[in-house]
Amino acid sequence: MDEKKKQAYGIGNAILIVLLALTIGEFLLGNFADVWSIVWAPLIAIAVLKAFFVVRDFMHVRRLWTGDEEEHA
Amino acid sequence: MNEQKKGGFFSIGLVKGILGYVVGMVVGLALVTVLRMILGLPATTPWDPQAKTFFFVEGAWVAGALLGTIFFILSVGVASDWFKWMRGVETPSHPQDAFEHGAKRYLSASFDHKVIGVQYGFTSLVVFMLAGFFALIFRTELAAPGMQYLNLDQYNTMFTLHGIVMIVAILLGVGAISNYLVPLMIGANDMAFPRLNAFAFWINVPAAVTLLSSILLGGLETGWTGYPPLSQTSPSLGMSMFFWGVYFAGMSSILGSLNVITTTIRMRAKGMGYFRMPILVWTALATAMIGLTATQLIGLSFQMVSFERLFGMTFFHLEGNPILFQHLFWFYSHPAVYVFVLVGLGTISELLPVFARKPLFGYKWVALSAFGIALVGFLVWAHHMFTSGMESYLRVPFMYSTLLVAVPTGIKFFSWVGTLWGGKLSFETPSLFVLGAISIFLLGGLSGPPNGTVSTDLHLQDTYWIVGHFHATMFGGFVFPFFAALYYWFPKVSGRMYNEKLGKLHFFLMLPAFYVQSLGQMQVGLLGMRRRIADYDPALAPDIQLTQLLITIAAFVIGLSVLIAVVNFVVSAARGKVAVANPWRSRSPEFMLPSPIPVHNYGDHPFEVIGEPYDYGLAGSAYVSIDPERAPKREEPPAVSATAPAATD
Amino acid sequence: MSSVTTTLNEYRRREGTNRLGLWLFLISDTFVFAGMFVARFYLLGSGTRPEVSQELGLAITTLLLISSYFMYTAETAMAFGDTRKYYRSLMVTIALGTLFLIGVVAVEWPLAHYDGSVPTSIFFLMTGFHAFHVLTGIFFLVIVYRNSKKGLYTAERHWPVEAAAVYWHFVDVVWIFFYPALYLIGGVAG
Repeated sequence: MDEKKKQAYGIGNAILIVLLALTIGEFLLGNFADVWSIVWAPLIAIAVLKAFFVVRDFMHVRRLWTGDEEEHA
Repeated sequence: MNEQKKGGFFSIGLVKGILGYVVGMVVGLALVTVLRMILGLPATTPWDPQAKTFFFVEGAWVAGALLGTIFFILSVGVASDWFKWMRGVETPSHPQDAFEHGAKRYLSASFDHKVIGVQYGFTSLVVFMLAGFFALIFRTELAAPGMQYLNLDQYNTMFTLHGIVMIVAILLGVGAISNYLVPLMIGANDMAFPRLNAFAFWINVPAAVTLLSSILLGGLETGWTGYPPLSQTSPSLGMSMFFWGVYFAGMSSILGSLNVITTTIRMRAKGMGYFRMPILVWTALATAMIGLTATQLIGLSFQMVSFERLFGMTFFHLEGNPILFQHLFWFYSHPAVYVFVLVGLGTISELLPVFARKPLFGYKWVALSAFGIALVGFLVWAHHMFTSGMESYLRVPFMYSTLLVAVPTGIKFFSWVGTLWGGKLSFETPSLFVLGAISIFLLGGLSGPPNGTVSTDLHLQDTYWIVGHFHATMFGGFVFPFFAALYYWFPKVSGRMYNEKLGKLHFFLMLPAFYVQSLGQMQVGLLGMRRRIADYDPALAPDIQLTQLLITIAAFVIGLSVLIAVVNFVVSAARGKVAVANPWRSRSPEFMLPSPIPVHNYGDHPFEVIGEPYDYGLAGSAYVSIDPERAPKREEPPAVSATAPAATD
Repeated sequence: MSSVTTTLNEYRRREGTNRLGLWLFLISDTFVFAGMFVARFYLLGSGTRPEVSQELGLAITTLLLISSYFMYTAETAMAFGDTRKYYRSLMVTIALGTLFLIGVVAVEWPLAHYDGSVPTSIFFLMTGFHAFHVLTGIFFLVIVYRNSKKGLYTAERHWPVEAAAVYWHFVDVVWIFFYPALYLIGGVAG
C-alpha cells in the first residue's frame, strides 16, 4: 500500500518536471529560434508530447478500458 | 417534482417552460440595455420593422434568447436533479414514478426514454408540418412567373426557414427513433443518462422558439447555410436568432448522441455481442458518432459569425476568409446528411426481413456499411464547395472520396434486393413505405454522382437539379422510412392499431406526388432554373412553367397526405382497435413485451440473446429468450385507459 | 435506490458508464477547440501571431500546468485516503486556476488591445472559449470541495472527484495546444 502510494505521487512529480522542462524548451524555441517558417513543426510536436503525458498519466485514459475491475488504491 | 402531481394548467412542464422563456427574454433585454446605459453606449434603437430595427439593440435580443433558453430549462424542471447533486443531495436513479401519468406526461419533463421518444416524435411531426407549410407558401409563389403575393424578403425568409426547420424536424425524428428503440432493442431499461436525455429533448423547444422568432425580427435572407459575408452584413436581427436557435438544436444533437453511444456500449443484454445487435442500433450508433463530433463545428462557425455581428470580430470578411466558414460549416453539414438518412436506412433494413419473412441478406456487411458511410462521410465535405473559389487542388481528391460513398451505400442496396429476392412479401402500410423508400433513395442516390463529379457539378451547382437531388435523398432516406417506423411501432407505442385504409391512402398520395415534385425539380434545374430565387427569367417560362405548376400541386398533395397521416395517428391513438402484442410477427425483443410497454421495460427480467436477429422463416430459431415465467403473464391486452397519448380528450 | 445502498460492484459499473460519458463529452469538446485551432492557422498561417506578452504567457502556462499537478496529487490522495493532503492540494488547484483566469482576463485582455482585426479576433475567441472552460472547471472543483467537506466521498467511491480532475486536465491539454498557437508560432505582423 505504502509502496503504491509513493509510486503514484512519484509519477505526479516526474510528469510535472517533464511538462515544465518541455514548456521552457517551447518558450526558448518560440522566442529565440529565428526561423519562423519551420519552427511550428517542433512546437506542435512538443505540444503533442505534453498532451500525451497529461492524457496518459494525469487523466488515466487507461481506466476507460480497465475501469470496471480496477480498484483505485 | 412533487408539486407537479397537483395538476392544473400551470403545472404542465411546457407551459412553465414557455413562461420561463418569456421571463428570461425580458431579463436579458433589460440587462443588456441597462448595462449599455451605464456604459454610456446607445442603448435603444427606434422601432422600425421596415429598417429591421426593433427598439432593443441586437446584443440585447441575443442575450434575451440565451437567458430565455436557460430559464426555459430551469422552469421545465429537467435540471433540478443536477442542482440537488451539486448540493450533495442524492436522488433516485430512475424516478419514473415521480412523473405525470396519462397524456399529460408527454407535456412535462420525464426521464423515461419511451416518453422522451414520443415527445421527440410528436415535436418532430409538428415542426415537420410547420416547415412543410413554409414550403407551400413559397411554392405557391413559384407556381407562375412574376411575383404573386410575397415580397422578396418574405420569400427569402420562407425558403430559409423551410430548410432549417426541416433539418430540425429531421434531427428530432432521428432522436425519436433512436431514443425510443435503442434501449428496447438492446435490452436496457432506460438510456445511460436519463436526465441528460430529458435535457437534450427539452432544449429543442426554446431552440425552435428562438429560430422561429426570426420571422418577427426582420426575417432571414441567406438560405439555411447562413453563408457570410451576407449573414454578417445582413441588417436583420433574425440572423442572430437563427444562429443561436440552430446552436441549441445542435447541443441537443450532441448530448443525445453521447447518450446513445454510452447506452449502446454499456447496457447491452447478456449475449448481445456487437454483431448480434439489430441493424437499427448499428445505424443509430454510427449516427451518434457523427452527431457527437461534427455538430460542434457548425456550432463554432455560427458562433463565430454571431461574434462578428455582435463584437465586430473579423473572421470571414475583409482580411478574413469566407471560405473558412464554408469548410467549418460543411464539415458538419455534410456528415449531417448521413445523420439524417442512416437511421432511416437502418429502419429499412430492420423492417424488410419482417415483411419478406426472410433473413436479412449480408447482416455483417450491412452493419459495417453504416460505419463505412459515417467514416467516408467525414472526408467529402468540400464537394459542396467546388465552385466556391477554394484551392482548386482540393477538388479532385474530394470528388473521389465523394464517389467512394457509393460503395457502402451500394452494399445496403444489394442487401435489400437480396432480402426481397424470393421473399413472401406482404403489403401493409409500413411495408409499402419501406419499398417506396428504397425506390426513392435509389433516385436520390443515382442523381448524386453528377453533382459529385467536378466537371458536371460546375453546371449543376445552385440549380434546381440539386434541390431535386437532395429532396429525393431526404424523402428516401428519412421521410418514407420515418413514416414506415411510425406505422410499424405505432401499436407498440399506443397499444392501438392505426387505420390501415388511411395509411395506404397516405402512401398512394405521397409516393406519386413525391416523384412529380422531385423529377420536376430536376427537370427545371437542367433547363436552367436556379435555386433560391423568388422569380425566374421570363425567357425560361415556356419551358418550365407547366412543370413549376405541377411541382406546386404535388407539394400540396404531399401536405394533404401528411395531414391524413397525422389525423390517422391522433384518432387511432384514442379510438383505434386494441393491438395485439406482436402484430408483425417480429423477432425483435420489444415485441415480446405487452403494448404499450411498461414503464421499466424489462424490469428485473432482462432477456438473453440466444440466436441471430434476422433469421425469419428458419424453423426453430429464436433471437431472444424472455423469462418464460413473465412473458405469458404480460401478454394480456392492455387496459383501455392505459396511456394512449390522446386517450383523455 | 441511492448510491449509499449500492454495492461497490454496482458503483464501479455506474462509474464506468459515467466515465465513458465524460470522455465522449471531452472528445466532442475537442472538436470545438480543434476547429478554432485550424481556423487560427487557416487565417493567419504559421508566419504571424497575435501581439501578446511573452512573459505573461509563460507565467500563466506554468500556473496551469502546476495546477494540473496539484489536481493529480489531490485525486491520488483521495484514492489513498490521505484526507489532509487532498484538501490542501485541491485548494491549491483552485487558487492556481483562479490566478490563471485573472492572468488571462484581467491582465492579458486589456494588454492585447482588442481592435477587431483578424489576429485579435482569433486571440479573444480562443482565450475566451478556454477561459470559459477554466471558469466552469473552477465551479466544478468548488462544488466537489464543498461536497467532500460533507463527507460524501471515500477512497473507494469518489467518482465526482475523478470527473472534476479529468475535466481540469482536459482544460490543461487544450491550453497545451493553444499556448504555442497563440504565443509562440510565427512573428507579430508588421
